[in-house]
Amino acid sequence: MKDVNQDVTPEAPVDDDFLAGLERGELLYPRCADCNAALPFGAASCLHCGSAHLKWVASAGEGSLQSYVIYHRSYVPGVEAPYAVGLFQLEEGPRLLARLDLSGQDRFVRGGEFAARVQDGQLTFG
Amino acid sequence: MASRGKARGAIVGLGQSALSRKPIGTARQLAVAAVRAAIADSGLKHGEIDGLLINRSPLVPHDVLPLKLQDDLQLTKLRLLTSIEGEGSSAVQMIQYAALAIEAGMATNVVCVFSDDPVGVATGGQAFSPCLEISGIPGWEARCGLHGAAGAYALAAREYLWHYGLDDDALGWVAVSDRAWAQRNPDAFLHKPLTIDDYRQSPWVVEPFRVLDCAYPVNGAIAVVVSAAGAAANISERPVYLYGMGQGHRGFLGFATPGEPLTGAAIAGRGAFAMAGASPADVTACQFYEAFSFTTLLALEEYGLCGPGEAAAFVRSGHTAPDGRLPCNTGGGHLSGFYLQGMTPVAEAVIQARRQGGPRQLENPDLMLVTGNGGRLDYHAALLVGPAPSIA
Repeated sequence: MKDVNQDVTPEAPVDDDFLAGLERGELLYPRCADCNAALPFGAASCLHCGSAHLKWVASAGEGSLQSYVIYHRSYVPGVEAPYAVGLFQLEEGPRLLARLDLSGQDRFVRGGEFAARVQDGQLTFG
Repeated sequence: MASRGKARGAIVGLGQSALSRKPIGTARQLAVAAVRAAIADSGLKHGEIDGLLINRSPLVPHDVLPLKLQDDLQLTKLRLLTSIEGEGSSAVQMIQYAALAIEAGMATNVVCVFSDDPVGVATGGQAFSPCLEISGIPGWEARCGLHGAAGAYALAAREYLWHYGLDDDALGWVAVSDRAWAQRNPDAFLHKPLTIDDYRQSPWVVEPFRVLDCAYPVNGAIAVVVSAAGAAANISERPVYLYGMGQGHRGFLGFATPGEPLTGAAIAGRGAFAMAGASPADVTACQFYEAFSFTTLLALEEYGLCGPGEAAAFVRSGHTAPDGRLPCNTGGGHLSGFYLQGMTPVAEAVIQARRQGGPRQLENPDLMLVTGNGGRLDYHAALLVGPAPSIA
């Protein structure tokens, strides 16, 4: 009898790859390995063709600001409030949550263009 | 297609423990008090309860409110017992599953309980610091510093405000409306008059949310007893009938796909209205799950009570406040009443349908929308309820 599970062996990228990319200085995002569609972070299969073969691809690191919040109290040891977190639409398509440099607050407008900076494994848009 | 307003079940009992900002017992102990009160309120005998559904806070482990609650309560004849895992939509879901099980003959009288004790000696804020998963990358929210439900909801709120070109006062008017109701509710926790200027002075939590945009947590438990619609009038003097039930599960992905529902709330609403044979225009009042002010604006639109982007002007015009044309969160809601997750709106709907609202009693509680909302706008459940065996 055919093993019903043999075709669904998870080949989705593990998120360690995303973090490992940052450690190398690269911002990665997921694409379908079969139809090449850009996929949302967290997808385990392709929304378009259903394939479970996904891959990580390097982003150019340009994102438009979709939303942001400013924490006025820090829950993070070593991080001083106020600090900002933004939601970016990468030029390649997917939406990505990331730290946002508060010094650029005058540019916190809908669709504002920001560039990713990856340093010491940390991602910040500014 | 369902005939208009045929009840699918009824709430025949409502009970609560003491509610307090101080530690007054474990969630398990408070649950026992609420269940006992709900059974007593229904007039049913203890032995007539044959179903128990349990809703614990998603922020606490299972053993805080285990299935063994059955033993504490000495409910020895259960035919239905489970813990519902719909996060903030669980309270409404419990009532739905109770009604369905009763309709299917699996149980007769089902008690549904929520209990929580988030407020400790030191702080009431701890319950709100764990991260909600919204990025799709496990653990990423913490690395970005997006702590607490407030941060995740604030992110959706800012996107919404930007999309419709609204200023931050849009959120404040919800707090003002809730407080106006709370002033008429002796059981609400925040009574001081609140103006939009007061709101603007409220400290930031996570911009665009101020303290007054966030739910007011308390320790306590609330339970209801659900029975068959046909039997309800023989059990209770004032049963509250369930005409429509729906769920929808879809998180907030932003405005990228026009024409699609923004969240599962739109799906839940469609289901509930279809079952009831009613439309949003028939709704006379709403009891929303609104852990944050923003969720009331979004719910008004997602459930079809306002057009897209129109809820802020609607609330600002006073339509949701006392004497408004669509009273919402009539006990003060989560912001000024108290935050017992999905049971806050459920309990208020029962009180209004029974005409026990005192100074805040609605003239027309005939068809109320009651909602639950869990995760970061991920999990939605809705009820349409009222005091008559069928919709008037």
